[in-house]
Amino acid sequence: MNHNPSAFASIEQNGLVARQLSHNYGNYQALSETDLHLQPGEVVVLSGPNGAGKTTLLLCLSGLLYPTNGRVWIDGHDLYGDEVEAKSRLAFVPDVPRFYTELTAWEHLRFIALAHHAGEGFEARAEALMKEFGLWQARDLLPHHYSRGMRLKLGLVMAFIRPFKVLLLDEPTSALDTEGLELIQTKIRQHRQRGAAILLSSHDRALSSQLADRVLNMQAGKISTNGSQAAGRQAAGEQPDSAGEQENG
Amino acid sequence: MRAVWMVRSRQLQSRFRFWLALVGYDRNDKSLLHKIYLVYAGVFYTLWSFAVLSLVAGGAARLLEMVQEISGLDSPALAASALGGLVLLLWALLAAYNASRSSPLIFTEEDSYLIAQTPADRRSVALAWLVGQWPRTLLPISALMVTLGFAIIESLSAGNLNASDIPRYLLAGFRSLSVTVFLQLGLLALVWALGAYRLQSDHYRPYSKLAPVLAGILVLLALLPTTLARLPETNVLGALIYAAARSPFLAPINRVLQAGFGSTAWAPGIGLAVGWTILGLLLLAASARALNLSRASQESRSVASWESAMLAGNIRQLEEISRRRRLALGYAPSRLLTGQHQGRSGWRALFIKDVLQVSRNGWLRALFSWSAVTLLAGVGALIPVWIQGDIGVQAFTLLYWMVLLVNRSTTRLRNDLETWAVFGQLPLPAGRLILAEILSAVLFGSLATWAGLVIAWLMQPLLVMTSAPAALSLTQLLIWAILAPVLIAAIALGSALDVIRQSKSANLLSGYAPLPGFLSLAIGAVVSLLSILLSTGRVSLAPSFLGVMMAFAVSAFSAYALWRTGAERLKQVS
Repeated sequence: MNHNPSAFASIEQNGLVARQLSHNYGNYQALSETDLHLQPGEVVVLSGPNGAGKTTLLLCLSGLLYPTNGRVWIDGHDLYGDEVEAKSRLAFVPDVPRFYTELTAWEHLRFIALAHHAGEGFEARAEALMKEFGLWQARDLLPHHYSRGMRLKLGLVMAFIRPFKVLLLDEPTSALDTEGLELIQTKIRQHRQRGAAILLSSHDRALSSQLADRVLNMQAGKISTNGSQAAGRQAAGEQPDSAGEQENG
Repeated sequence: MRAVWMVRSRQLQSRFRFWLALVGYDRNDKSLLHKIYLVYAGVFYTLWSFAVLSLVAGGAARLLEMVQEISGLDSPALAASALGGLVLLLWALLAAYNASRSSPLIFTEEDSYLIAQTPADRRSVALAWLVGQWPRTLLPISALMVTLGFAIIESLSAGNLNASDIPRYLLAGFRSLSVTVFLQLGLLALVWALGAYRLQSDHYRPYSKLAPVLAGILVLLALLPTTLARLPETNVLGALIYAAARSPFLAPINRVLQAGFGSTAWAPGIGLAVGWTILGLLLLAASARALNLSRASQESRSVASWESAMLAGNIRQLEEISRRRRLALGYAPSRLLTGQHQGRSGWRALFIKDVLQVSRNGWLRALFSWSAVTLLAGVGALIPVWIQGDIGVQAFTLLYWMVLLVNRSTTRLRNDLETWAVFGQLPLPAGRLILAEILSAVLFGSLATWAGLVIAWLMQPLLVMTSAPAALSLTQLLIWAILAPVLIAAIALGSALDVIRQSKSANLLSGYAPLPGFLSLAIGAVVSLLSILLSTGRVSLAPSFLGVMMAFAVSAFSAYALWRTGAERLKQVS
């Protein structure tokens, strides 16, 4: 099954490429063999019912779940063979982020930035992001004192604080307030403009119509629909920038 | 009211069934065989409890004799009431101290939805929860009082007890138990009344925290006149125990206990004990009328989670709850992560983050956790001096040293794996991630082991017996000191491989990292055994210097192979 808009994508291409990706939990096949290509500056929304395999696909693409078969390339780097280069270009936000018990929100950001060699100009970037997401006042709190929505926002900020060329989001709007929803849409648009390939799972049809270049529908571990340009995005007249030229973060 | 009791009785039944299941009770088994087994189990545990308490009573009788001797009290019953009274007072003051800081009513998360948000009568709730939590405090105090009751009979009979004394023995136990039940319930209800008073409506009553401290001071003042009067005849401890039995200010408690221990009539004593219960329950009812269940629930939810994790044996959850209790609400940014970022980037950030986590949990706690390694290394080195030629004891000590290292060396890795979505995305080579995780364990493990060896060397002259056994050789100590870091690295990397091998992505994302298992112990045992055999020259082909080199090489090669395998497996967590 091929979900590449340009027929057969070369692994050297920028963005995200997955070939023959599948995953089984024991005898249960959660993800059937899947090919996928996201071009730089493209936003793809994964939709489908609960248990369709969206999270499994995102986990395999993020390197957090080793696929039973298949390979993934991030910006031309093999996720499992050249993991340092691949992971330095990749950001994934799970639907329920978990944090270190002993580190405050601010320290989480600092740690992520340092681990990604992105300490330059950290203070200004972190302050701006935390203010945008409404976490600035609570920056010195331990995250287990945060509400569910605040934890999701912190997970998103931890992704945006570092450079990436591929962004994976699992249900990023599930616990957000109205302002948070608008903000995440703005952020996705900004990063698309900068050439990031963005794949997100969502049940929110409005979000899909407003943001998605393509909508992929998943059913029982298979991508059943190779979607087309979303009407909302066309109406807005947005075009992706020159692919992958500019690093996000 | 009925709804509250219905919920509470279900909870108590469920908890009771848990304990019954431990002794083999199966509610679905209606067979005759099962009923016979239950009768057998009941008789067995009754006799077992009696036997244990009787056994302890022998020691308690000697204690009572000692107490009589230093205090000058003229009967074992008075000595028992003094001891029992002091223990009860200390327990009540401690319980009051806790109740003045955290709700004595323990509500689970479900309770907070089911009970705390309903307009149920707060007095009923307080009473229902008191009934549920009473047995756990009553049990140890009752056991102590019954033992003291038995000890009095042992003491009076001067060790000449026979079968005909059993009824007298049992009666003494029953007598002390009968008064304890009511007195302890009364004191517990008073403690709860204080807790409920602090949690009334939205009142913030910081002064209620002082009440237990003031009560403690009052108790000391009550004991002071009698203690001072007695001092010329005995020492401070003896005078204090005498005062505990004779002080007129403590008479309301002493009268009850003395009746229970048979030095005064039982009926007035039990009447007074019931009076304590009534007083406690009335005060609890009065202060619980405006009890704010939401506040109580908020304060006690983590205690409830801790208790349910204890019952389920959920070590990971227990650790997490304990960690959260130790930590503050928040912290100012740590200097460890701020400042020049060049020296803190990449894998160093992971190491610094680990240091920060350990420091937030307390350095003393971390050092204390490594002190057992020091102790075992020292004891292991000293055993040949202490117990000549006992290789079994030394091997057992070494095994325990290794088990501790297996456990300690994976703490950081497990903690990071439990935050898999963060840890798994770090753009660092898997091998370097593992090294960063075990670095502190190898460092502290080596330091702790070296400290143990140094202590063993220093203590050796004190332990050498008159028979002058073979001394602990400095060469042998140096060999162990050289081998320790590489051996510890091999053990740590073997344990890391075992943890990674067992890890499942779905579990890690839910915050559950596996504990090191049998493979860790097997790897540790094989590498340790090989190193020891080679370094001590017990393998014939290895003369001492070559043996040490070979032991070093075997440990180093094992460590390298385990590290490479662990790194490959970390990339393939599925």
